[in-house]
Amino acid sequence: MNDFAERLRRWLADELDESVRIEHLHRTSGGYSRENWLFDAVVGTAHHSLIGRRDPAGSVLNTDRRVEAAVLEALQKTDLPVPQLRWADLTGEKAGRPTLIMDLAAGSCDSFVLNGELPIESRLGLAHQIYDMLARIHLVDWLGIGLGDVLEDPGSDASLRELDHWESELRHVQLEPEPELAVIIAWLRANAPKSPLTVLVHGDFKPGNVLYEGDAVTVILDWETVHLGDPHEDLGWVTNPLRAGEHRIPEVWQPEHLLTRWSQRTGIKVDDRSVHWWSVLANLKLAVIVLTGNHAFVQHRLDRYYQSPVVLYGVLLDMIGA
Amino acid sequence: MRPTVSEQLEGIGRVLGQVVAPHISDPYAANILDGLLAALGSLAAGWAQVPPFLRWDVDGTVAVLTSARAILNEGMTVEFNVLLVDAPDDDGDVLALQTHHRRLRSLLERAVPAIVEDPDSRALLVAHLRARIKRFPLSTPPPIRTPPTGGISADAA
Repeated sequence: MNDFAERLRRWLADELDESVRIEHLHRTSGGYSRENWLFDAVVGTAHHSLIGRRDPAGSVLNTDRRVEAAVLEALQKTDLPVPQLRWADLTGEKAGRPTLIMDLAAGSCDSFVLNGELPIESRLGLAHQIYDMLARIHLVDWLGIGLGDVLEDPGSDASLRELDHWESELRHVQLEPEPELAVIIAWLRANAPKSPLTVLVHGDFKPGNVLYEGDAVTVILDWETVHLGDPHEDLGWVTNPLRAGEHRIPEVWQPEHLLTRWSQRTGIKVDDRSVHWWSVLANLKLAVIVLTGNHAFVQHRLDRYYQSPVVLYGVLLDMIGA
Repeated sequence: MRPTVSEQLEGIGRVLGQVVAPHISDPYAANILDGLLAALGSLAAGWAQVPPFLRWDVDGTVAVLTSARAILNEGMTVEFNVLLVDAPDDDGDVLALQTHHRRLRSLLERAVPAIVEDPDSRALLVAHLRARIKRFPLSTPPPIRTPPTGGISADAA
């Protein structure tokens, strides 16, 4: 930690061309894919609360800080509430490993806020706010803000492109044969839908990735999996039955409510079969993420330890009607 | 053999949980320790079931591949025949059983695209995989947390 504090001190002093003190540096327990470090940068008498998101030695998810930084920068041109990126070390030259430093945004974060202590009216209002943000992400004019130069447009075959990507990740990290996932991949390949249009896909949209104050969303976090693709991808992710505890409120905020409201906000028709296909892919991704963690663990690059995600395999077989 | 392997694993988990954990104030380290203790508990409960599970899974996988023999390509058929001949005859040799199990599962994984096209073989395959999920001896929950209201959340993604 001292080494990282010293690296941060030198980096920020270089950026600001002033003497900087790093205080209260600590790593949060949240964030399984990146190291999240909170700290204050003290310049003269001014304290700046910042967060550093650093690539870990090993992770459950392999993503690129270059893309995340470029997207955050481009999104500053929109009215979406996104983190304010201050500095980026894309090579790890300054922070030891690739790191983004952002302002620490105000607000609370609670993965289960929709089923928490707030009154039902507040929770429903917050659900509307949160998922309206998803609609706004899908309405971003990504070409207009220059993201066509950063992200690849997969066109109408977005589903197969994502499937290829996650199958490739699986091949890279699997420690042993996984016939269950081969069954799921065969089904996904045989039933892949066409994308109706290309939008900006968040990739990990959930209440745990927004900050809120009262019943207002203040910022949308965690853009590391952002890409271009089919809007049904995010819809399949947020309606995944396995994640109901995060995304749904019994009776009043179910997938049909979410999808109807999203369609009204975006003007895009929802294809239910496509949403289901992307939900299946969402759980394949979760399985691959667990296996990625196992791979990093046995290579001594990750502290967290998981056993085989066989529970997910059962869910997946149910979802494809096997 | 006392303490047994289970007693040792359970005891280590108890000491770490009751003696060490209360003194860890760093949230990241505490969170990591929680996960390790859960995995240790799963190992203590399930380790003895691993060899019989491997034997059971080998037999079930051989049954699936035997039923699909007609739709395997030539290379896979040859590989399967070799595996049948090379099967270890001593289940007490867990490492040999583990290697044999892995080779069979590898063949099954590669045979899946053909098997799922054949309804009878597919039904047998899925039945075996579902039974395998139920029997699997070592399984802590994936990187997910239980919310107060039920359901699960994946922190990993």
